[in-house]
Amino acid sequence: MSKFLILGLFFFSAVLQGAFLPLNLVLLAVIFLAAYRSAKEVLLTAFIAGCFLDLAKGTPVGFSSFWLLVISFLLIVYRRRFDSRHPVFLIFITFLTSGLMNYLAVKNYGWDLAFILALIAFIFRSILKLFSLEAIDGIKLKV
Amino acid sequence: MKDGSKKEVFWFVLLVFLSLSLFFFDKKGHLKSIRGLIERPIMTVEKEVYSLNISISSYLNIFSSRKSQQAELLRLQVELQRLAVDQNKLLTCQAENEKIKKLLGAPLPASWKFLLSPVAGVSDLMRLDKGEKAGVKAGMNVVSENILVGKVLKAGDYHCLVELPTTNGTKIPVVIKRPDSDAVQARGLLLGQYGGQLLLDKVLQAEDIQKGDLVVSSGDEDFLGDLLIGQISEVLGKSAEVYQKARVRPFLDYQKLAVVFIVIR
Repeated sequence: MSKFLILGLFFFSAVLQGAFLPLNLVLLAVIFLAAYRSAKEVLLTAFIAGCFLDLAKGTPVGFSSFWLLVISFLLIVYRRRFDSRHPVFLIFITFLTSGLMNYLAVKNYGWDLAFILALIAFIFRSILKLFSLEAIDGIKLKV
Repeated sequence: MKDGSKKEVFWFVLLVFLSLSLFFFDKKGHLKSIRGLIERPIMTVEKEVYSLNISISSYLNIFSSRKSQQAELLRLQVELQRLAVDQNKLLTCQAENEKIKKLLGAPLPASWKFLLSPVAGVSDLMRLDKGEKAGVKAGMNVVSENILVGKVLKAGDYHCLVELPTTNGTKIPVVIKRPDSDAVQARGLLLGQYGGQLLLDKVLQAEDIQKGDLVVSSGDEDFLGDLLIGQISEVLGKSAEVYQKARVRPFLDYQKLAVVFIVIR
């Protein structure tokens, strides 16, 4: 059930981005997913979310999927050795990847949007920490 | 642990291969029919979300200006009296009708044919709810009254992507005219920049441009001629360069358009 909820969230984020929202919420969701869920789930979700995003924005299908897969795989590799849930890391990686994906889409880094997205990442990470809501290996939420 | 890593790599490689394959086939146009089928429900939802965004923006604008409050209240009261149910659909129909009336009164060549299209979404590009099935092709111009909205970049079966003047990387050959004259003051190139900005470039230093001058399409590079785009808001300081530049304020807020017209020639 939670998987459908997650996919629904990605679908809605993609529709928002396609309709009017310049912030890359799909990317943000993938980054957080990569920090908290299992590798296979992250990769599959990144692929499907990328397809949603491409269909919503009119870009060739597979374009966003490819880059989201690359980003999520790098995060998966990173989290084997380091703490991918650290707020500083999350802010930094959100900022960097948002700029990169913006450049790939519109040939401009859009650092202002990347900054806002990084801020949202920080707020969301703080909320998760505040309420001690952290997933255990993608199985269930621990309160 | 090693098995786990191998599985991760396997899934990554498999999905990357799938992504690249989809990208390749979509670029070649082999996925057009399937894509069209899947996009239809997505476009429907997107259109509703976009309309809702415009409604909310209009509602919030009430609080930003005292003068518009009373006029807005009066307009809503009149609308409420006339409309019973399904306000969104009726608002769209009304907007479409007004656009058509304005289009008929606009100074455009009689030989042009227009296809009305609702806007489904606006990001860097504009998405319209009309595609090849409706006769839309890449390269067609999109207008709102006699103002250029953009050019169709890509057309799917049921939707198309429109490159706006403000899209990063857009280049439109233009002429500059005084507001009260039809004479061409200067020629230049209008560049779309990130953040919805317009920059007028390649205007010779010898040519006289001023704040308030109209920027009009020249008719070159597949853009129809004599279509308004914007107005010069600031002439950037003259320098030793060959060309002078200016900032241009677009006439339209592309994020607030609900209906546009595709010029089918």
